[in-house]
Amino acid sequence: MQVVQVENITKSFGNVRAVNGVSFTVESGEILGLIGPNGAGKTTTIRMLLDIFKPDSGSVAVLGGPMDESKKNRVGYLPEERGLYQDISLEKCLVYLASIKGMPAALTEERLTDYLQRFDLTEYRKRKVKDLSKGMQQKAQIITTFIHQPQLVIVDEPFSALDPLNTQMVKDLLREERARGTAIIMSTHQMNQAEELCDRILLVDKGRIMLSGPIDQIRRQFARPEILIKSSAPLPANIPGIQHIEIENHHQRAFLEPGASPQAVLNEIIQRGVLLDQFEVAQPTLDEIFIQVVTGGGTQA
Amino acid sequence: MKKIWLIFKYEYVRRVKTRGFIFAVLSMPLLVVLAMVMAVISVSLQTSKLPAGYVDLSGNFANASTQAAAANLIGDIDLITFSDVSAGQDALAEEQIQALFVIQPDYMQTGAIIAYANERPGDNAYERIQDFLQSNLLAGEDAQVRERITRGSNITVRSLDGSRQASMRDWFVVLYPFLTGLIFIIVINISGGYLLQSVVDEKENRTMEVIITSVSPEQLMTGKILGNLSVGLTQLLIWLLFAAIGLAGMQMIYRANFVPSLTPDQIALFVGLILPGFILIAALMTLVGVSVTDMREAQQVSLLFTLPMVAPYWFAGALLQHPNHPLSVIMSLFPLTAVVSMPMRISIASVPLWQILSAYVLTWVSALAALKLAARGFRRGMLQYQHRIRLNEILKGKTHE
Repeated sequence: MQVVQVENITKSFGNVRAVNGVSFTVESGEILGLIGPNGAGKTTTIRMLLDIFKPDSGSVAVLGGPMDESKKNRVGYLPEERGLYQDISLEKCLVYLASIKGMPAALTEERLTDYLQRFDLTEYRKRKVKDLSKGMQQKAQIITTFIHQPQLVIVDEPFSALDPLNTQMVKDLLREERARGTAIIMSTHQMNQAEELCDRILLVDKGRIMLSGPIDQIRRQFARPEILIKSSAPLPANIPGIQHIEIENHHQRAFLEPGASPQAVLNEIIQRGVLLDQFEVAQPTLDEIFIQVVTGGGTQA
Repeated sequence: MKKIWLIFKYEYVRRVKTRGFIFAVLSMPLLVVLAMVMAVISVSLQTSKLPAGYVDLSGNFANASTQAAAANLIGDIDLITFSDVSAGQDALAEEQIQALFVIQPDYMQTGAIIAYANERPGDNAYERIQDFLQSNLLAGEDAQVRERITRGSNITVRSLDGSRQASMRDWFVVLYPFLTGLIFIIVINISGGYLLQSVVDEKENRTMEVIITSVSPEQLMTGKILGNLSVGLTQLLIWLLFAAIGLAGMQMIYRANFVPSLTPDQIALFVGLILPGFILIAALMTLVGVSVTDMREAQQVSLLFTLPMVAPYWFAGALLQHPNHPLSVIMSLFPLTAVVSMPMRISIASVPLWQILSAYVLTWVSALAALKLAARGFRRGMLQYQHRIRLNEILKGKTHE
């Protein structure tokens, strides 16, 4: 089921065009990674999805139609900057934020207890928010995003200020929500997290979509004629198909000649009796693709 | 409506539960009680329980009654007759009396009395001798005449066209317009301060961005205005409750009518001016709150309309001396000054009906326009963290909405 449908939206602030002809969809049970450099137009796009800004042109459909007040209870939002009341207790803050999402008090109490336990915040329930660490506040913010079990969740840098243990907790939560059928849009600068969690990515730069699609497909699209090899001994010289070899930290990187087949190279190495620990066709990381696209070497979707 | 209620409740409860609010609520009645206690102590220090004495050299009070005609509010004392001055002076020297009043032979022509005292006599001694003289001089008169001369006249001021009148004794009618203005200033300062703080805080700590994904900016703004306005009104109501209890207590003790009742004119003044005045200032406070980047700047900018609000008090002399001067008329029509100026004028002059109605209409129109502007400014400025939003940006801000 299509939860978000964005068609050709544009948005300008004065003379600056923040978003320029962006279109995409998000299905239920899917995590879409919204990535791009600072000022690319990610936050503006998110704010248009949430009806905070109206697009100058184009259309946004959320949960089957234009965003309106009745749908706000079915959407969860985690902004990049923490947005919690500082001078009240954690419990009061979370209960209030749940109440304006239309949650009945009894259900809030039940879920809040579970979430606080899950995120190791039970003992801080009565503490003032301002007395909590940044990581704890981030976890509290995540609770407010998910407590009403929304059908669409938009998270902006969900792992910021979290240690590896808490990062894992949030990843697990995101996966659970995806399995429950929630549509998730995750805006992040952390490419490894996007790579690990997202089903598809949308790379935006200067308000335009530069790249979109499933991660595997994108990586194949950007694959280079290189092989990563880990072996007990250096590779012999003059292997047909290999142009040259560079020794890196833990492996050797073999650059193939144009048109050379990695399979043929593998066969040749085995025939020469080299014992291999690893043989991998080098696919670029999302980080590398990001840099390549943003610095002008990529293709537009 | 439910979400407005939730925001209203949250804003209201968080404020009234603070120590600052509780202290502010209790401080005024405590100050009043303290002032009253101090006054009682001060009066008791200035009065003596010793009797007063008199010697009548005029012969007009030979068989006079020394029984007090009316109860003295600051303590009854006896009045003792002495046959001659030296006997009275002896009693004074032995501190049997606090003062000796010698009624001079030509008293009926000159009113001359000489008072002897070791130290300044208490006010009750003076009141006691005055009461004695008055009641005995009037002893032969009809009871109604005595009552009238003792209690004085009740003057009612009435305008030529009969549109307004006020009795000098009906203190509430005279004071109501001043009180409404004063109450307005107090409540709007309390509520406006809270409202400004609330909006700026939410913008600064980024909570606003989370809240508006749950409610509309208009719902958020309405809930905040109503919640914080109610905080100020609660404070006022508690003060008025204390005042009413105090007045009721005075009524019981002195058997006089101190508890006022509201007339339709006074209610019209509240609905026509005070209510829209609250809305106007609250909307402007909200607008300032979302337009600036921090609380300090918010307080500075808000002076632009809180100063005009109190300006009528600076010009109170001119307003009261010349209530129909063009400056007075302008101030009572201009929405930011009308709330205080118009009641002032009404209290002392006959204000044409068209001017009163114009003030009502102008204040209501301004209040509704300010609300609309605040709603637009709220949408425009709520997520602008780095720079202040200018008025022309709000007015032309459609592209950002």
